[in-house]
Amino acid sequence: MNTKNNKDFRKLVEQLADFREGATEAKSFNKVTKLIIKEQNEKLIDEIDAKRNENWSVLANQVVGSENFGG
Amino acid sequence: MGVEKRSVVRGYPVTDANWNNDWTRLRGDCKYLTDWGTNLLKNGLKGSIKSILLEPHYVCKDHRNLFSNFYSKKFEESSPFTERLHFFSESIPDALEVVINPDKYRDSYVGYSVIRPVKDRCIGRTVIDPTKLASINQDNFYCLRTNFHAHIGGRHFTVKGYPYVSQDGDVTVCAHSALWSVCRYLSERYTIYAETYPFDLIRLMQPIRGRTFPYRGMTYEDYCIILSEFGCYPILMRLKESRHSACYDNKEYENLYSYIESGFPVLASYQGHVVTVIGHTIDYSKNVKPDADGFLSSLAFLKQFVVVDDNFFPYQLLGEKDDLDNYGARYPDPQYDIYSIVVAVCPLPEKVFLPADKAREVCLKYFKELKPELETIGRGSYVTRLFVTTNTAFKRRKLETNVFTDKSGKIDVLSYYVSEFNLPHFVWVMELSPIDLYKKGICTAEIVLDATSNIHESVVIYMRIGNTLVVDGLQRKYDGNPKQFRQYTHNLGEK
Repeated sequence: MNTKNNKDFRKLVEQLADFREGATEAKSFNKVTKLIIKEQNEKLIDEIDAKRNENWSVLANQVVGSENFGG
Repeated sequence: MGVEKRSVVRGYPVTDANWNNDWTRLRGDCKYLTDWGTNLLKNGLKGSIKSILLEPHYVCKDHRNLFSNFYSKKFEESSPFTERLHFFSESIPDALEVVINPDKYRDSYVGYSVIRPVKDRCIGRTVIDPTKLASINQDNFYCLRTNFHAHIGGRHFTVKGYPYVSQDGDVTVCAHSALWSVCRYLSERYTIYAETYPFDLIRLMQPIRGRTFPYRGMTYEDYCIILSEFGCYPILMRLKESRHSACYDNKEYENLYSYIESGFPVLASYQGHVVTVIGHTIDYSKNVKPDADGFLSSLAFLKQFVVVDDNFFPYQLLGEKDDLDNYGARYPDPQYDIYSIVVAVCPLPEKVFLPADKAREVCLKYFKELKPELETIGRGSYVTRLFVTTNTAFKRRKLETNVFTDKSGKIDVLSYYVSEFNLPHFVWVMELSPIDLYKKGICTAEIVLDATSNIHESVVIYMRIGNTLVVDGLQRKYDGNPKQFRQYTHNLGEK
């Protein structure tokens, strides 16, 4: 960054107020957060964890490779 | 007989015109170099080097480890010593020249290869810089590399590459070669991991299926035990039922791609053989289709995986069946292609508690629900790219690419603002760009998750859409600040 940009940058950062000053409630975002937590809490079985457990039960004793120059 | 106290490094000029004869001459002096080893190096280095230096007496820590624990117990005589070849892209009059003027040749150092006194598969620890290989099209080629050090006559040279070793066909198998390369890459790059030698991997195998050597294929249980003992937290991905299954489980394929995009070497089993995936190539001209909501993953532009397969020269390209560059077609039967991976194992670090699939689920939910806000910044199909990275690398690259750039123009204060955040050791990041901007490396939105969180908690650290920042349920628009910012590029060694 050149000298002019350095000066500009310092000025900008010094002017950068605390995020909370002038911040408003993120209504749409908060709505999605609530939706995600509700969906997760309502799940009786976590499909992702269940898939991982199933994978392990199938794979645990399987040989990675067994052919000549496989293995 | 005592050990030879003096052995002079010898130089061998090589030219494309006299390529085969030059290698024949070298082979005459390099006693451990076999036909297989000669062909592997000769084909892989063609057009990339002009000189080879032969170090005739080299103590390789990896070979010595195997010798002490295995070869020394055999009836047939073997040597604890190896030879080493150093490759240069410049003509060097003789080996002495490198000792006199090392600085002159540092940039042209392509890498080295240890030649072991074993039958057939003689290529020991090998590190080659892929950016110096003429055989690789460097455009849109991304792969893992780290610095390795070598000394020639007391002079220090550095090569940035990914470690390779062939299986010896006696005590080690392809799984050992692949695991060794993963462990050596990680220990060389991150001080948290201890250096591991080939026989350490054999010792860590469980004898519940009988003896662990010579030549016993590994199980996924062995993989997980070894990687855990090494200090990683492996995660398994089952991409398909068996190698005969026609297609991938798309979610697992996305996970695999995210971990590769995050800069982890991933062990990939073709069910019969195992390789390491260390990167990928991209094809932006591909005809891609978004989902019903207008979103598509950056996986859609994947062209080939960059793999290290111990049967071939490092940095092979695993592409589609009809891809002329697909190295898997060189196997007699079965042939391999990009859809041949049955199971993949990623050695995650401890503090990535949140796996890729859960991070993706959360990020996509936010972006899809907030599509109207995204459309105010840019319309079109949206490309998402998910990866995990360390907070230090993330902050550093934010400053380097979006704040302290040499280009004139507006400074992205929001990228600076991020560098002041308290972040966990690892963060998941999903970037979003309209498709045209994605191809130019530009984003319009990103969401950053705490990788140590649980999906039932508040996982989002911050979200940015254009010049609006969302933190702790509050949002603030920074008028005058750029609405676009550069993609994060670092995990696969991008500049």
